[in-house]
Amino acid sequence: MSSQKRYLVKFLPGGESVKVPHGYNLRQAILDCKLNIDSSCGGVGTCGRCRVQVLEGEVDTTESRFISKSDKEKGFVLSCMSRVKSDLTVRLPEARKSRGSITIGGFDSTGKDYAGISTDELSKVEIEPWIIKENITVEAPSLSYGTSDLYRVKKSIMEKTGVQDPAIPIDLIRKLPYTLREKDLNVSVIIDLENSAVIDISPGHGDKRIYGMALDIGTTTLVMYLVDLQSGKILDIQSGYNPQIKYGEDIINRIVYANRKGGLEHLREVIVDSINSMVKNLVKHTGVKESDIVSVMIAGNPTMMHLFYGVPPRFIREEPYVTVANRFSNSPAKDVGIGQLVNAYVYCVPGVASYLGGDITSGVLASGMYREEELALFLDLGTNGELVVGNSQWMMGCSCSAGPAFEGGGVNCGMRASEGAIEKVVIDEDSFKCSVDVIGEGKPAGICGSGLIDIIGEMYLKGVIDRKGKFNRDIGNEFLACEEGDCHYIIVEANSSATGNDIYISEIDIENLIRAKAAVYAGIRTLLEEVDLGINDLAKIYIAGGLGKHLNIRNAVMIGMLPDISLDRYHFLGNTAVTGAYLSLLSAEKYRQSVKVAGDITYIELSVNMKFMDRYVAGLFLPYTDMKDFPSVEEHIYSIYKKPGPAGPGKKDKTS
Amino acid sequence: MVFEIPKNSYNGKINNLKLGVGNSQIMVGGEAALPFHGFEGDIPNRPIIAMEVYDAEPSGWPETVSKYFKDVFSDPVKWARKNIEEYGADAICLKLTRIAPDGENQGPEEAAELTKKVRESIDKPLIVYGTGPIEKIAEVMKRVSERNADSNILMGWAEEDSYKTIAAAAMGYNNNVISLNQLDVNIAKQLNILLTQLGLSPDRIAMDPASSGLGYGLEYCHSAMERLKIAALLQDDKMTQMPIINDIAPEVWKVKEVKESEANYPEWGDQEERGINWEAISCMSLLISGSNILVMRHPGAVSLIKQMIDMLL
Repeated sequence: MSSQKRYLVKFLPGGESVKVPHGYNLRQAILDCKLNIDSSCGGVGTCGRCRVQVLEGEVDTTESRFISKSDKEKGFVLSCMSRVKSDLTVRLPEARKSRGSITIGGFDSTGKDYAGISTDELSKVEIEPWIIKENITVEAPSLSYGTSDLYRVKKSIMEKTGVQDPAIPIDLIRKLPYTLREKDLNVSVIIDLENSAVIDISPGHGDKRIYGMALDIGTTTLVMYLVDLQSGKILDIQSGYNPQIKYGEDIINRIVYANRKGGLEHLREVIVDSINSMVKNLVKHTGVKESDIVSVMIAGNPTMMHLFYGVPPRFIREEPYVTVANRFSNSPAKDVGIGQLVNAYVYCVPGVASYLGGDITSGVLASGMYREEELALFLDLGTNGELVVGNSQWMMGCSCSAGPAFEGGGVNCGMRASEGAIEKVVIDEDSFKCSVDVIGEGKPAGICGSGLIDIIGEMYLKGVIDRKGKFNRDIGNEFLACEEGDCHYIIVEANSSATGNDIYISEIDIENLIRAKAAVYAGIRTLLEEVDLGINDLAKIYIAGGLGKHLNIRNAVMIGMLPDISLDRYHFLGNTAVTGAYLSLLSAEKYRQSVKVAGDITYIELSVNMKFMDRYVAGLFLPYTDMKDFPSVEEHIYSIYKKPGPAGPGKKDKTS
Repeated sequence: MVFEIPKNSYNGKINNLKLGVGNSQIMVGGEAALPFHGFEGDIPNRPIIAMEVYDAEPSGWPETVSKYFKDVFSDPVKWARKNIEEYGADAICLKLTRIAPDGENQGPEEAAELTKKVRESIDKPLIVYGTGPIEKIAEVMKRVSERNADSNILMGWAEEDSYKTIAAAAMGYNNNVISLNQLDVNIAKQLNILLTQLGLSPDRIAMDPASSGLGYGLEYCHSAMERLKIAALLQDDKMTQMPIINDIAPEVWKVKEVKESEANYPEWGDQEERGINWEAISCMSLLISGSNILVMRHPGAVSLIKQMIDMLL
């Protein structure tokens, strides 16, 4: 029977193969082979990232704007939109250049520069350990003092630390009679003062030094600090990519994957494995004993936290968008898969709502805005733009989906800010040739977020595109390559690039970037409007997130992504998620504050906000539909062109 | 105590759009107050009614309206004259349907020739709408503008993805352009900015917000048009000060409420009267929302709207 027929699908260059039934989804076949395929849209045909080339055999595919006519003839299809109809040989896109080293939000590995993380905030923090180790001697029982072991332990703890009736887990009680008596009723106790909980009881008196870990689980990267809890010293740092990336580049795709059978458990396993190997490395590098590590403080966005704890994230994505929990229970490390940390408890920085997580609470904590009088805006720029506005009196936050464009996703020649990425671009106004700055020593391989922002700004200023982001085709631009009405602008020619292909930007790329910047600005405007404030009321704008470090603020203003206010009000903070976790690990006051901050932020859901949609559409224009929002950009344009814009019968335009 | 009508004061006014030349010239727009708020500011020009003429016999019209035009369906020139002489049209809106590539795919030259013939045989201004893909329309309008040089015809339309050809055609031969948006204030503004940055004068643009008729989202049209007028008049936003044209006739005459017979829906009453009311109520609502040019079909509805304008102004 034909319905029983299975086809052999073979993938190049690696030669992996899989047998699938008739009509099977090609992208799924790729995933079944455990191969990487980008798809920021989750396989619904809207991002154009999962292009593959069918070399032999037949697929049933749906037309896509991402596949030009000539590419179609060469066999290119979107794998997510293709169904297998015969045996196939399929070429996958070249694995993108190794992901390179990661810059940890400005953290200098010498440990001196804490990420420009308001160094202030760090120097002000008073170390106030709230997980401590105490040596105690428990009273001996007698016939006339026949109280229980547990009672006597608690009494000693109370006398030493003031903690009344701490919770003691059953597994410690099981061992308690022998633990107590092994060293003559001398024991050392690790105790969490904030939660009145005993973490460990071990025989004998010992060294009181204990350690903790601050961990940022980002959608893209992981960063972990090993910290001496008494001195606050950061002993070592580990960082790496989130291994879940191959199952979806963004949050939505991870949730989709987690919904599949076994998907959640699989995502949990890979992240926990990565964390365990980071722990191993930290221990190896520093010589700290695993048993002396007593706490792990995690900050991450809600989806990452759900996946780490193995909690189904499904309802984050479905209206009305709720989390299972914004603050997960404090758990013994072994219960969440970090079994090597026998004495540690895992804590999380509490989140606010489904798209505003502990990473943002951490950021607000690190910025210090929660105790300032003046009004500040905290902005974390990543796949989601997360914003919090407020001061010591009140705070409001929201999240706007900017899409992966700033992280190089959804853009043909996009890449992350690593070796080989173009991070700065200048266009010559006469020849339209681009000059580029590249991260590292090598040839350019792609364009990262800050480079893309530069390109949009430059193209707009030099009249390469109109304010809608469409190419001006009649200005004699030799670097504009057009095919059947689809044009792309060549930034670096093939012979100068690391990949041997042109590095270019297409109209669709530009559209994606304009959408991303429109979402960020619309979020800022809407949030401020909700509290009847204007851009100029902001005394400070804190920028966090991976994009921050290389970002040229002036260009981001030029394209209408960031508010047009004095540049000296902008402050880069770097990776504030890990900083906030670090702060709350060190100081009981910060730990309490993190809970308060998360509770104090009022969340606004933008996906149903009409004003947001209105601002967003207004933002699908350079820099913005209403130029009054961007006075300095308007002034700049007038100073060059003596009229509202470069498009039109300007010096190079032949239209009359 | 004497009652005093509370009054708004306005900072901006709607542009004057010149349609036609010489004796047939009329001015559209120019108001410095919200629709019919003559007590608050000057409203120098009446809203105008343009009646439809097609370049081929239209299909799908209910008998209740087609009966008025059966004798002229085959001759657009006669049709145009009938609209003016018998039904009192202020302008003619010629719809080029034969240019559509999936139909007759008539070339630009032939279409342009017809527009010229119609324009020369009437003493009222001419509005021309194309049908089909925007690229073809732009190509045709280039020729239409050339053949009707210096006659201030109004050509539809420009949209976001395609505005340069038609704008250049208008600029080159002194004609006017309709900028189309899908009931979106931001998009309307953006397109006007793009057109004017090309060098097209703002007073050569009319905006078509692609409104619908009664029962099919008219409230939303009202809100979008009102926002445009408020931005134009209160905030003096130059990029929303273009007069508004509503090509409403096709929206009205395609719905079942005007097409179904009384035999099928006795409770709906007389079919023709119902159709006239449907068009008139749609049009009146759009006038109150800020319409400056209405494109209409039924002579009865035209007559009703004219009376209402007289009463309100």
